[in-house]
Amino acid sequence: MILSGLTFLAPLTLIGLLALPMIWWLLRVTPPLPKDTDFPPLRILRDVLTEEETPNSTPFWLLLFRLLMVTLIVLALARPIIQKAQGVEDRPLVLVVENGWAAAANWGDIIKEAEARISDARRKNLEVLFVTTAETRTDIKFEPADIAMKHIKALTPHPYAPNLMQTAQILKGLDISEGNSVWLSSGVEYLETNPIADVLKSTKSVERLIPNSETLPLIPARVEETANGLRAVWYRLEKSSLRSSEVSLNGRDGRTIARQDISFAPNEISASVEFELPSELRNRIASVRSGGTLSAGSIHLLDDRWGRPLIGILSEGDSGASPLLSENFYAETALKPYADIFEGPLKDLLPLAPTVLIMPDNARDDSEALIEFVETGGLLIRFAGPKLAKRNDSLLPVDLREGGRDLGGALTWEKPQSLDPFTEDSPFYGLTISDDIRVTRQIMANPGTETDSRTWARLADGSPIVTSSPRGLGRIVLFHVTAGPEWSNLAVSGLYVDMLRRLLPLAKSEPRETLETSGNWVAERVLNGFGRLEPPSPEISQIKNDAFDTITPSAKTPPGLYRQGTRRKALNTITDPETFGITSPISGIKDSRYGQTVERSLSGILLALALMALTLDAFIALFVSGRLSNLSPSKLLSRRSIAPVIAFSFVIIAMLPTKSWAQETRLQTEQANALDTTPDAALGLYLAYIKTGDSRKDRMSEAAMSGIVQALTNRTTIEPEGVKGVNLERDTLVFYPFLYFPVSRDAPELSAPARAALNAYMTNGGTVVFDTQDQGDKIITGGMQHPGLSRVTEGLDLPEIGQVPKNHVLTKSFYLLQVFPGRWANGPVWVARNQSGSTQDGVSRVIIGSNDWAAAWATSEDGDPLATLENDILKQREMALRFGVNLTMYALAGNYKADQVHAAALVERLGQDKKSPENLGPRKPN
Amino acid sequence: MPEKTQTFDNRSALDLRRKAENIASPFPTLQAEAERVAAVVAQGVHGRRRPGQGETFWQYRQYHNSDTAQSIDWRRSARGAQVYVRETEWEAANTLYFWRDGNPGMNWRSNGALPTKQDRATVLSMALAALLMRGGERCSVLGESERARSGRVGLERISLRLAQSKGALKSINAAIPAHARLILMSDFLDGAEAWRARLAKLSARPAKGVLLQIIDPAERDFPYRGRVKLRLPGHKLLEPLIVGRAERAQAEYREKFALHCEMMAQTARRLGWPLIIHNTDKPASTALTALYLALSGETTL
Repeated sequence: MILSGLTFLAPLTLIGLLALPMIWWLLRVTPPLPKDTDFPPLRILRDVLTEEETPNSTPFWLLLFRLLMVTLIVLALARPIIQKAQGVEDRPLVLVVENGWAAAANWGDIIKEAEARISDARRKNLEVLFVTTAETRTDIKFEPADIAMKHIKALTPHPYAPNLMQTAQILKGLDISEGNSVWLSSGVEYLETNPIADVLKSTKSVERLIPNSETLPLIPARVEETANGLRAVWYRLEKSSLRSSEVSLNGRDGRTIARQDISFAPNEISASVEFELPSELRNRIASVRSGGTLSAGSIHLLDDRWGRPLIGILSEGDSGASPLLSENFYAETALKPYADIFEGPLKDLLPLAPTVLIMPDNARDDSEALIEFVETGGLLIRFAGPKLAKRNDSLLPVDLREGGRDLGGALTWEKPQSLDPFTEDSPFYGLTISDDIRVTRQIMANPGTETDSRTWARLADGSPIVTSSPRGLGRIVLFHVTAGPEWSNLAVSGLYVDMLRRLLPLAKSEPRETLETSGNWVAERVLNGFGRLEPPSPEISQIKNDAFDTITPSAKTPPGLYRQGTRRKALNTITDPETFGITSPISGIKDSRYGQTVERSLSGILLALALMALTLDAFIALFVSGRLSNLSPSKLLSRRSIAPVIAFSFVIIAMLPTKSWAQETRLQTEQANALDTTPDAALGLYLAYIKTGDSRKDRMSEAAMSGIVQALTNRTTIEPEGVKGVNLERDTLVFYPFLYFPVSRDAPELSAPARAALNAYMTNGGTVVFDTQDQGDKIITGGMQHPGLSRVTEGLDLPEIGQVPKNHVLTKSFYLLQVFPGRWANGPVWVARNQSGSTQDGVSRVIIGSNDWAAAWATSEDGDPLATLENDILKQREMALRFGVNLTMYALAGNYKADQVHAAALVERLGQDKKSPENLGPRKPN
Repeated sequence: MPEKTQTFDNRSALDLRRKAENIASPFPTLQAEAERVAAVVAQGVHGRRRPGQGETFWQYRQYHNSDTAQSIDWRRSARGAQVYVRETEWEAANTLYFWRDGNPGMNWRSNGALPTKQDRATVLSMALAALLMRGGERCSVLGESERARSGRVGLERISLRLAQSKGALKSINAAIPAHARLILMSDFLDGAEAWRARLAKLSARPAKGVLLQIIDPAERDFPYRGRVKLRLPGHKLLEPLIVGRAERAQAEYREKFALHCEMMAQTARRLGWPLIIHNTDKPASTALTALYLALSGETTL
């Protein structure tokens, strides 16, 4: 059913229009709902209306309106579309869909186009020959369009290159000469000449669709490690225009680690992007991908070859020497942050398959195994020393002269030499050399052109200090000094670390294989066409060890990560980026872009119109039944019954904004609150307690702190501003002299941030007063461990503690006290045993007790005590308050108060007061 | 929409009181003309311009031998040779009975801006009661008050009683003294026939009074258009009347309604009860004026 471009996809729905007369009749006989009202003089009215009136019919214009509405809905459901006339004769359709990795980047366009072509064929009742390039279906033939549509729905791009030759073979075997062919190309030319083109030319007409060159995937060439990060080299397929994109480094969990823009200059096929990353981050990189395109071709997977190298340091058993003097120590310390380091004799190290071996002079070895290690791709870094000076061996980059060279010794006239700046061909190029590096002894290389080219670093007088040469697949690097500081102070400089780090990337390019690494490689995670890692499907076959490097990705061996024992290797979609090109025009084939054949569906517009008419109809219905005036806002608001509805709808509207927004604002307010509390706590003195979350306990602590604030204000020059309850995880603690921490038996463990905050607080001179508040229960619990306290103090940096000694500052910081009572008076109080901590100013980090001080300190706002005390001693509450005052003094003044230990003696010397030292204090207790 | 239920708690009673007093305040104290009837009436402050029991001096007259010796005013008599008797003016209070129809149809309004007919009737009766009691009359709610009351406290109780009045039809038949005066407020939609019988019965007692017919404007004008479903208030089970095109029935209805009002007025006039028609869309004070005039002029009838 085609009316000049207007087509119905579901023409049978139009039968629904037959319902219109029925609707006409129904609407006519069904009157609008009457307005319901009370009317007291009904008797009089009943006399007027002797007989029931015939029902009122719907107004004619409303009837027409509603019929139009139904017509619109029926038309919309018939899925009308407006399509551009094709202008091509109707013939069977040969549809070739490329579904290799390159097609994934424009997959949406390709599928849309394919569906449009097939549904067009379905409308015209044409058969379709549907061929995909990347997989091989054997049962390819002309089929009804519906079946082809099913294939299209199930089609996904594949992560490997399409098998064009095979597709061409299949097409050749079929009779396609009577069809029109449509070729949905990915825009990427995989081979020199495309074999499909020739086959398709045998059809009546060929149309090829190619994507916009801007949307073609960028393909990775390689990723190289540089001194401070890495460099990723990318290729593009067409090179005429400018193109910029983004390259991101992703971790194993898919998280983006770094991101950098990459831009290709016109006529440049490749571009590179440099990342500066610390090695910790660098080691977490699992893949590199280009932003914007989803394709297996634009992702580069990294494997074991990337990341922390495994380094072996040769050592000949335990020499028994002091570790600081052993040569291994320096190399190990320098490389530890950047590599996994193992130390041991060669026979223990080789099975670990290290990529680098470091050989200090005292562990010198030139055994067959070591030679084989180097020749199969290992990097050997060796250091000179007395042994090498005596005798050369075979594992050397350059010829050496026997005997060392002393500089600046007692019998030499040469001064110790510093290093010459590194030349550009040296891997150390760019490192800054500090002036104080001096080499006092070295091993000399025999001069020669070979030596010159193999020299990476020289002394100021030109003699080589680091030389290197390849050996087999591997490389040997020789430092002409010792690994330790015996011959030079290089080993104790930062340069040493930098130089060794620069050497590490040299080793990683070729992994070494050890004996147990010859099994098959099994797919662990494979890429799908869009470049996402997925679990492998069961059809995927294993790859033989020796075939892995030469294998090309295919259906049986898709790109992805393969595992062999503990080793992991990546098989990437793109192995050689230079082989790909861009589709070029072929004579006899009409090229057009995707997205040209527009198919405009009218059902959306029609449905929208019908819905608008429906809304309008609701108002019309109100109008016809005379209730439209009820909708006026004043009436709505005046009605009590409606008011809750309106209120409710406002609530709903208020709740409409997304949850995340609400959380965000809450977070912001929390942050704002956190910011708010900080300044005033910093501007005045506040006593603080730690909120336990138990509201009763927190109220008690708050009252206790304000009790002390009162006592301090009345009795001393300390006049705190107030009390603050602190949350260890959120609040800044540094402002408070001490933190009162009531610990119950069921107190939970502190969270990691809380623990960190408390440790930092104590380290910066704060005092935490732990109060278990259970001295009364000690009779029952006896000497058992307090479970809450041990949980809370878990992981806290606590000093060794002891009971408060008789002369402790706490006993005399303001009042002279020997007991520290709270609700109970007889509980022991523990403080740090050693008072000499310099950062603490002599103040103990912790004070631990069980006397329930809060109970004794707590006062109401009027100053009345809140809790009853056990009255173990005389005037217990007063004594408790004095302890509170002493505690604050102690926390604030520290060892300034400790000086008064000598005050008695000083006063006695002056002869003004003969009192015994016990009675001395700022105020005399009665 | 009429309000289906109206609870008379004390607050709404107070509210009605305030409204009533507001209406009544601009009026001069209404001294309803007390009819000179020989029936036993309670003593009150109402001067009857004739000698009798009372406190106000009325006249001196010469001693008659039927008078008791105690009645001689010796101070006046001492001035001359005559013996005088001091007479006081006979003072008696009139009792007015209020009845406000409590039919569910009364508790209805066509429009949220208007008061219900019942509210308007309550307000008017309160206002009238306030005026009458200020003039020393005694008021009562027909069939509901235990006794007639006067004075400030009496007004409070009557107002409360009026506000909570059920206004049952059978209250009209309640025991009232002969020659009592009634104020009946209703929409009189039961039909003129029914009311003729009721009023005739009252007149035969004998009792006289004023009728106040309260009409909602919708009842008068029938402003409905289109299709409406009409129900008799208070009769849920009664089949509602569906009017297909209300505007067509309008003219005929108005005619019928006017006829009904006319019939009612005729009936009232024939029985000697003045009928005052009050529309709820008019201010209550106009009705109060009419009631005032009717109660004052009743004596001339």
